Amino acid sequence: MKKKAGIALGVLTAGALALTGCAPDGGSGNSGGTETEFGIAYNADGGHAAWADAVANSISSTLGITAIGEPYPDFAGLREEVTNRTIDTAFRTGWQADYPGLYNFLGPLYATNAGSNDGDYSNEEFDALLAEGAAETDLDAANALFQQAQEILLEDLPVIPLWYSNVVGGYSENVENVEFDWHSVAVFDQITKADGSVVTANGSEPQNPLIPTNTNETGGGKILDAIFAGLVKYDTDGSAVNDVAESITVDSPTQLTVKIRPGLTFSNGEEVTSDNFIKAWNYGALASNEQLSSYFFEDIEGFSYDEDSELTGLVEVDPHTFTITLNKPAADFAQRLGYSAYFPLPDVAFDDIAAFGENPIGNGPYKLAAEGAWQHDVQIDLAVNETYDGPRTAQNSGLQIVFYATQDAAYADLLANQLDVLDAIPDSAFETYEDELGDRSVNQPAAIFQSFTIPESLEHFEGEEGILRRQAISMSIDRQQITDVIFQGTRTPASDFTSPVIDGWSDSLAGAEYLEYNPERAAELWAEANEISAWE
Amino acid sequence: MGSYILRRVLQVIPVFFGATLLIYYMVFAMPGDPIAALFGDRAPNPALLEALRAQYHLDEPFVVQYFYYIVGVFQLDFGTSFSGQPVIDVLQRTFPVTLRLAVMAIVLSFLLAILIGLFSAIFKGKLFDQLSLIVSLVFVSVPVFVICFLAQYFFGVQLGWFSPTVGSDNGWLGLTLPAITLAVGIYATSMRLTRSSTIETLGQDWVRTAYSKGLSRRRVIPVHVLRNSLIPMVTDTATTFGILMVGATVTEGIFNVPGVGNTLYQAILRHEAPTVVSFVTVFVIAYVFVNLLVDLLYGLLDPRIRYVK
Repeated sequence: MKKKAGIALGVLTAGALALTGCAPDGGSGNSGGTETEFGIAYNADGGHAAWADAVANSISSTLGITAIGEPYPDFAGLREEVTNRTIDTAFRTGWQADYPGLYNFLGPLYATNAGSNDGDYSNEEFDALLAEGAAETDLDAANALFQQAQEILLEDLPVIPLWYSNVVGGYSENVENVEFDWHSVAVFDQITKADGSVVTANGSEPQNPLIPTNTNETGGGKILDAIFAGLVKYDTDGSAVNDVAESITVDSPTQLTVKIRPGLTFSNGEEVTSDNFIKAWNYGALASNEQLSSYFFEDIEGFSYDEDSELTGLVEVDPHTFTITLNKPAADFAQRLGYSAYFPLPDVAFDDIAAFGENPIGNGPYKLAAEGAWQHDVQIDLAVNETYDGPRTAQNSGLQIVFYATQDAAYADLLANQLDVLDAIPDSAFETYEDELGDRSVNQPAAIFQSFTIPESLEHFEGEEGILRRQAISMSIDRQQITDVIFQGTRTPASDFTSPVIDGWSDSLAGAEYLEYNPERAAELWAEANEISAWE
Repeated sequence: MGSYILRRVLQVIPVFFGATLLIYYMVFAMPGDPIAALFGDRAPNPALLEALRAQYHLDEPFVVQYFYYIVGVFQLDFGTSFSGQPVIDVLQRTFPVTLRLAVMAIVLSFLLAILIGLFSAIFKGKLFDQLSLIVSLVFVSVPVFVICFLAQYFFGVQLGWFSPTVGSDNGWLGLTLPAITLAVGIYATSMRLTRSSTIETLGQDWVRTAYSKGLSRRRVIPVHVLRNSLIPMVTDTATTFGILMVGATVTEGIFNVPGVGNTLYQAILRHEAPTVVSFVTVFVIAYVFVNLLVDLLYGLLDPRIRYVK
C-alpha cells in the first residue's frame, strides 16, 4: 500500500510532542481490581483523536463499559508495538489499495499469516475461498468468491470496519476538466488551462529517490505516475486499460503473456522493450537492492527475500513479448500491472541508479522539465513528454507539483488561485470548503478503508465469546453520526472491508447488518458474551 | 581580548560533544522503529527489514551508532537521510532560507521597537505611549499562528498583495509576509524593553547634567540616552535571533517556507537521527557564536563591562 506522507496536521502542537518520547501508559490490560477498559490505540500525529474518542464514547454509552481512545505519540511508536505484538488494546488500522482489486483489500490483511494480518486472524474457510478466487481466471467469478469470503469476515469481524475515506479536493478558477481517479489523485493529463500555462498541483517531498520500486508513499508516487507509463493504466472507475501493453493474456492462473506496443520510447529516445520490464522488475526484486516495494514481485517465480535470486518466471519471447510465470495462482496479477512498482526502466538507469533517482527518465505523459527539476522540499517541474503515445496524452502545457508541509498552506494557495488542483482539503476547512469553492469542490469515496483491529490474543476476544463481543462493539458504533459530525460528511460509513471505487464492490453482503448502528442488538450480544465469561 | 575570544571558541568543543551525544541519545530512545514505519500500515518482510536496519546501522548498540556518526562528521559527512540525500545538502539548502527570514524579522522588529519604544518613553503616559502599549499588549497576547493565519487570509487570499505561501519564491522579497508576522510576534517584548530601559536612563543624573550643560535634546537622546538604553535590547535580540535560527516551525509551516523548522519537524517524525542531530548541532554552534558576538558588542556599548583579564 502507499502510505500517506507525513503531512503535519499538528501545526499547533508542532515540536511539542516530537521529542517528548513518552509512551502512553499501560493500556487496557487488567490493572488489578479496576474495571476492564476497552482501549483503541491511535497515533496522535495523524489527526485521529477526535474520531477515536467519538467511537469510544459510542461504545461506552451503548454497552455500559469503559471504552477510551489511547494516544501514542507517533506512528512509528504505534507500529512497533503492533509489529512486536506487545500491544494490549485494539488499535487503528487503515488500508489504501495499491491497485483497484478486491483481493488487494483481503489477501494481505486477513489470510492466515499474511504480512499485514496485524490481529493474527485465521479462518480456514476464508483462506480456502480466497485461494479459490485467486485461481479463478474470470474476474466476475473471482469477485463472487471474494465476496463470499468477505461474508465470513463480516461474521468474524477480525477488524471493525469504520468508514471509507473520501477524496476531498478542489480546483482553481483557471482550470477545467478536473476529475479525480480511483486512488484520490487528479487525472492530470486531461486538465485544460485557458491561459496555456503549466498546471500546478499539491504534493509532498518524495521520501525516497524517484525509483519506481523504491517508492511506497504518495509524495513520490504522484510524480512517478506522471512520468512513467505502465503496461496498463486505471480509468477513473478503477478498471484497467492497456497503456504500454498491446495485450495481456492470462494463459492460466499462474501464467501470463504480455505483448508491448512496438515503437514506444522513453523520453531519451530509447525504445521500450520486454527487456526494460524484465530488468526493472529484477532490480526491484533483488534482495540486496533493499527496495521498499519488493513485495510486488513475491508472486513471480524465482523471488526470494533472503538471498539474491533471478526472477526466473520472467522470460523474453521477443523484443515486444514476454511471459510471466507465477509461483502461486494470482489471477488478478494482470490487474496489478498499473502500479508504479511495475514500471519499466531505461538501460541508463542501471549505470548509476542514485543519479537516476534524482533525475529519472520515463516513458509517461510528462518528463522532468530539465536536469535538476526536482527542487527538494520545494517543487518539481514537469514538461509534456512529446514522445509519449498512449491513452494519457497531456492536454496542458506541463505540470508543477508543489510540496506543501501542511494542507492548510496548500488550501490558502487554492483559494488565492495560486494552486490549480488540491487533492486534500485540510480538516480545518471541512465546514467551509463547499461554500468557498462552490462547484469546484470534490467529495467522493476513495480506495481507502479505515478500521480498528481487535487482536485475537486480546482477553475476552477469542472464540465464540470474542465473535459476540466484536459484533456487539461494531453495532454499538453510530458510524453515520460520527462521519457527519466529526468528518462533515468527508467519510462514507463502511458496509464491507473494501471500497466503493473497487470493481465488484457491494453494499448488500450478508452480514452487512453487523456494521449498522443497532444499540439494542448490541446490548443483547454483549450480554450473551457475558454469560460465557463475565467482562469485569 | 584575543585570548578571551579563543577561550570562548574552544568552549564549542565540549558543547559540540555534549549536544550531539544528548540529541543522538534522545532520537535513539524515541519509541518506535523508523524503518518499520517506512512501510506504512503494511508489515515489511523481516529479511528486508533487517537489511535496511543494517544499512543505517540501526541494529548496532547506541554507542556504536554514535561513533559512526561522529567519525563521519570529522570527514564532513553528516550522514544521509532515509531519502538518500546527504544531510549536508539539506543543511545547505534550508539554512539560508531560515537565515533570511530571521534577519528580516529581527531587523524589522528591532527598528520598530527602538523607534516606538524611545518615543513611548519620552512621551511617557501620553496618548502615544498609551496606544503603543495597548498595541504591544495585543501583539504579545495573540498566538503566533493566529497572526499568521489572519495575515495569510487577508493579505494573501483576500487582497492578493502577497502569495499566500512561499515555496520556491524564497528570496528576500518572497519572505516579506512571513517576516512581518514573525516580527509582529517578537516586536512587543523588544519595544517594552526599550521603553522601560529608556525611562530608567532618562531619570539618570548624567542626563540632567547633559541638559543643564545646554546640550540639545536632539543630541542627548540619540547619542547618550539611546546608546545606554540599548544594552538589554542587544541581549534580547541575540536570544530571539537564536530562537529564530532554530526555525520558526509554526510560521514556516503555515507559509510553506522550505526552511529548517519544517525540515527538522519532518525529520523528527521520521526518527531520522543523522538529520536531527546535524541540525541541532549547527543550532548549538550558531547559538554559541551569537552569544559570543553579544558579549563583544556589550563592550562596544558600555566600556565598563568590557572583558578584563
